[in-house]
Amino acid sequence: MLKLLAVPAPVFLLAACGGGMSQQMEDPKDLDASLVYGYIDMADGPCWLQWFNMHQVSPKVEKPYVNFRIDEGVFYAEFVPLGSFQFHELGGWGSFPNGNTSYNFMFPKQAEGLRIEKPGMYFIGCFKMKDLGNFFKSKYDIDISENPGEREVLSKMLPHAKGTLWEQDIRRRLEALK
Amino acid sequence: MNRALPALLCLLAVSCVPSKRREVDSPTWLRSGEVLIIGRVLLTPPLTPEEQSLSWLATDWRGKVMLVIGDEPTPISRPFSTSEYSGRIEAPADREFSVALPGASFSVRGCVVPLDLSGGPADQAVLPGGFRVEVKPGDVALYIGTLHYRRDEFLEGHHRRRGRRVPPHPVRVSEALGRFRPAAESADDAIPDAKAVA
Repeated sequence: MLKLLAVPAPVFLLAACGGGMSQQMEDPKDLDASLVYGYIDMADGPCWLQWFNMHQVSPKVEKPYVNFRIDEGVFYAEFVPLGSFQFHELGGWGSFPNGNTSYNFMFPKQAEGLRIEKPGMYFIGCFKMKDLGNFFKSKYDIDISENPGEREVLSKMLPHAKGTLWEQDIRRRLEALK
Repeated sequence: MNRALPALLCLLAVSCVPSKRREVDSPTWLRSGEVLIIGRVLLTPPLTPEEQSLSWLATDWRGKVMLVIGDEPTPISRPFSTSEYSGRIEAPADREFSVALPGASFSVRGCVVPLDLSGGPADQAVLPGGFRVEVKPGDVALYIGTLHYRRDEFLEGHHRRRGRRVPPHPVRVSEALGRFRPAAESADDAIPDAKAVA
């Protein structure tokens, strides 16, 4: 019984809190903080998106990893400082029939990235995971996707920004996208 | 066992890496039909230790840039397989390389910088090349100059040789980059440019 509980418990906790990050946004502690957001559809992947982070490559800092908050494929981080960033890693726990397995997908270090020179809202885009594997070998890739659009992503984030300074910014952006 | 497995995998990977070009310091060390090639690869800004994750088996590669040569200036494709290290020239960061090559013209296809050889899926930066080095009969030693790469924080950049801009590579550097590295695979697209929207 203990063995059975030991595995579902962390899976449940991770699923509930998006890989350790709460879904609720907070007011920025730094006035130069930016809100970075996007979406990845993992329906064709071996797991749902449960953790996703990016790496600050410039300027060098003591803690260079920025973890995104996650809500059903929508990822967002409202505390991103000025600097240059690259996607680093995403993953999740496998769903049936791949349960009880942790999947980590790494991004190469040589790739385009996000350069934030002034604070604001940055929409990275929407992506879709593709299953390119076969019966003998698993292989996945991600591709740029048109859907859902930025508006849908912001709508999904809005409840998590309630009561914060970001709420107004998101509403303003939603108005502009109408 | 958990600690030993990555080390074993790395040992296997490194042991499978094909041999490099023979380093020689003087034409007197050349064998029949060989020519001495001298040159330098400069990366600006230089690699920092944090940018490379190398196991103790590959620490010798720290700071080095691998020149990939071939008969034709074919761009290095991704994913880059270990077998393509075959016949590489290991260029140290702080000085010129000096190797023995067969006495025939060759092309510099590009350079590879090992970024992650820590036991998991390998990762490397691929830098463009695409020029030819003509070796004439009777040549004993050739100085091919300095291949100078200027790169940004995303390891993208352009290169100059002998102070002259090399014609643009047929493939934009960012297009040749893998975006995704699941398990042991990689893809050929890049993260699109993100735009500030507010």
